[in-house]
Amino acid sequence: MTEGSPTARRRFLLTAGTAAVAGIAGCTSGSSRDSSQPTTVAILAAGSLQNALANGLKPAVDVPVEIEAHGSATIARMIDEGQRDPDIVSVADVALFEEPLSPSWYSLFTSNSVVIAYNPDTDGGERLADAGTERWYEPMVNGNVNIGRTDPDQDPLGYRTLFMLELASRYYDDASRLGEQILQQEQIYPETSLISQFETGSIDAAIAYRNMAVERDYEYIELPDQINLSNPRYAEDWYSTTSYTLPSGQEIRGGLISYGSTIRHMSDAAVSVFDIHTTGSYLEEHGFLLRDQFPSYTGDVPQRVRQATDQSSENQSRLGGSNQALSSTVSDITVLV
Amino acid sequence: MATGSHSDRSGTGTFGFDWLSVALVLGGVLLLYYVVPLVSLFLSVPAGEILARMNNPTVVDSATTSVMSASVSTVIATLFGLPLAYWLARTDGAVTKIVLAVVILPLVLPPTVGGIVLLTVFGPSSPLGEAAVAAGFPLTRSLAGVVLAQTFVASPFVVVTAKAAFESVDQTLEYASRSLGKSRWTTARNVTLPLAGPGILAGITLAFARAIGEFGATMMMAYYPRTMPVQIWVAFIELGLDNAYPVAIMLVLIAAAALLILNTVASNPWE
Repeated sequence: MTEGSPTARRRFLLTAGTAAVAGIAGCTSGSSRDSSQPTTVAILAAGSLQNALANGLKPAVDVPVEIEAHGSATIARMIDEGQRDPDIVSVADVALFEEPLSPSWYSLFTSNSVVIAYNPDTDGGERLADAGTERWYEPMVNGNVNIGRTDPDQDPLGYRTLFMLELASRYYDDASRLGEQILQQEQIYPETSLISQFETGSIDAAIAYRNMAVERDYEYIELPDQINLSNPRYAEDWYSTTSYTLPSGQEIRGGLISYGSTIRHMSDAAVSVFDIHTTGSYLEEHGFLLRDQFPSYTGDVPQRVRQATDQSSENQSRLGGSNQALSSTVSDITVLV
Repeated sequence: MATGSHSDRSGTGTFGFDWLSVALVLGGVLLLYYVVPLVSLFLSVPAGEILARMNNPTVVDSATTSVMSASVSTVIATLFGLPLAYWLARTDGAVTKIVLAVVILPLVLPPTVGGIVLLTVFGPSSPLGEAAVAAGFPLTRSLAGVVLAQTFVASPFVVVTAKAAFESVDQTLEYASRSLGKSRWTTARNVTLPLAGPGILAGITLAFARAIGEFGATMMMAYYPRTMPVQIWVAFIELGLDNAYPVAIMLVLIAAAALLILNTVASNPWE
């Protein structure tokens, strides 16, 4: 720093200090407890939503949003342990809203289906393509395909993969104990980079959500409704016959794939983002499955959220008993103590 | 937090300050900043628990992968790096400067970018990668992928450090050897290399330590087989910090061992 005369320097510091104080005052004054103009809205979301939020939601809202994505179980743990404090949290299974998060309300806003995305340029991918919907598991059992999947302890896609294989073992006549024959520890990748592993040559195929394949234009095998966890018809009597126990001891039962979202820090900006996030057309464009009953609400939904989302969704969900019934269909939780 | 003790040997200077002590106090803040987190890492888990977790197969596997791949990477870096270092040390001019800049580039490139540029050359969609896969020797998701990533980020340490070591050798000794009719190769082998040995060893040690710690490029080239840094990251994501401590401590110990080698057999280039 150059040698200024003491008075000049003092004057400078004084000015700078005043400016800083004024600046801080300017930021804080006029912001009530419920500020209408926060700088950004932070969303912590399931890995499978990452692309849709970054390239579908972000351009569609006026408020700047910060998106961070991980496996849903990881997200729940991060918030539970105080590592993250987002405004909006969205998970790929509303079961994770029973515990450990337990928000006072949430919106069940979209669904998905389990598919097998594959890379047709590899030998393994070619074998899968030839096998098709009716026999896709054969090359997998024979060990001719490098499969990628996610960790059942970290995200719902991981345990839904196990549910799918379990249901497939029963559904196909000549398949049995597919999980035992197909699954290996070395197939596990982070949800956020699972599909990217096609490009690093690590995998020929991935057991993934439909939207992951649609977003990236990858070839994929549609699985029968009986095993792809997307059809409400099979949720109660069929999907729910499978289950997985998380490391926390929480037992998750199979059910319809159901994405849930809630606002943790209420503000006008958060509500406006939440509205587009849960009712926007970007979801369908990115390969998520919408149903007439979405969005449906559970718990004590704040009035302003209801108003915002009701205006934008034509099919106003009726709250009450029917809704409770639906959400219990969607995800049945049994807690083992 | 207390800073380093202000010694009372202050030779009363102009204002009663001993400036060396002041320097030590200021520097001590930074020194504590290095030491305290490391100490707290070791204190965060009971030693017994760490030893128990060290036998965990995933930890053992990742340690094996790391040590093996880093060894291979270091050997490759040495084989190709020493001639380059020698050439850089013994030539001068614009070309030399450009070559040196190219060598230093991987050091300043973010490792993830390193991973991306490597994928464009060795990835499955590249001609080279395709040929390798066809030959049954994939260059990604394999030990080869790990080695490629580590060599890219770590080998410049060999070149840069060995270059400095070669330059420190008194050239008159080389001239004496040459004037006695020995070839350049014989001279390099019998005069230059032995004299530059400790410096070269330092470069090799640094490269090994850097290869062991490489994460970004490795993760893009080969998520499997898992190296220790990848395993740390996975453990952290899966179950949080506690789960990541054992492997992290192992890596700190390896880094410390590298320092020990630097200060005993090799000549620490930064002393």
